[in-house]
Amino acid sequence: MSDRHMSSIFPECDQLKQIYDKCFTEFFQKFITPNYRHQYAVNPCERFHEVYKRCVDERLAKQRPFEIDLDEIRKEYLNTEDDKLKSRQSSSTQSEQK
Amino acid sequence: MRIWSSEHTFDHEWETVAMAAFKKYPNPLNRAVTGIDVVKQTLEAGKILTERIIQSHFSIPSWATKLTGFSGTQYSHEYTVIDPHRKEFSLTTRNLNGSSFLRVDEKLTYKPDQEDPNKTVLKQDVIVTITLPAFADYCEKTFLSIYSQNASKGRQGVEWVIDNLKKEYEEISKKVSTILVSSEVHEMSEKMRHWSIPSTSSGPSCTSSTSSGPTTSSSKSQ
Repeated sequence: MSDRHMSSIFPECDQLKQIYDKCFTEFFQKFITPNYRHQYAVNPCERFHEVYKRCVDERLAKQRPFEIDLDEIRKEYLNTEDDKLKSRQSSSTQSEQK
Repeated sequence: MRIWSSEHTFDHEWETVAMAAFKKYPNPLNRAVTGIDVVKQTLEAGKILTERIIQSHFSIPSWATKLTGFSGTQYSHEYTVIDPHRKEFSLTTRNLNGSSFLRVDEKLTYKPDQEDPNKTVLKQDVIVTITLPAFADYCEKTFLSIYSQNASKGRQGVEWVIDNLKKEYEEISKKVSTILVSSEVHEMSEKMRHWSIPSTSSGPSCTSSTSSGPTTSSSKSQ
């Protein structure tokens, strides 16, 4: 719907990104509305993302445009409140099973 | 280490600001951003979790590049959580280059104004830590003064996107209403045709009259 498009860092992946972005933006517009059933939603554009992500991952691995390992950053985010909540939830389900 | 915080209120409801913040780039006020890739985008418990790599280009003097090894092209990692149920949109950003001497942690949160649900409050915090043998404090101060200017540009960027999205919506709603109106007209003429079956003589005139505006709207109310 939009003429504005943010391009991929890697020109070779740009077309795949456009396809994914278009799909996800359409979903996002519906998702953001208050009456949408958020709780059970899944990413309907996952297949497009897989193809696009493969393209990006290959180039990130080959060109290494930055020195930081993304997994290191992810580890830090695991200590965010959301994840604390998640681990609390999973531990409570475990205790329920007992 | 230095911390800079700010708060800004957008005169728009959360959904509008969230949509604009989600589709913030490209916009003419933040031209430094030259590329974005979505490395992860999942839905968990009704929230959208997104990881993006953002490429920005700054024009910095070549002597600075030589001194610090810091080139004009920078990458950062952004982690966002969009919770439409709680109406919360949060972004956490970290620089991916120059980490040996520079660390910038940025956190932004968009939430509805507690006093006025038609407004949205953006809270922004940034922590900068520069590790240099000398002038580190001076560099941090300089960094934050540039950062605060960019932050204001960032907010203007969101406003620009909101305007732009509004125009897009107007165009779409115009298109949609045209489609709806024409399908209504079509539907009405279909009905008219059915109704016209018993009274054979009035049939053709009735169908043709549906093509004019006022007749359609008056018959719609039946």
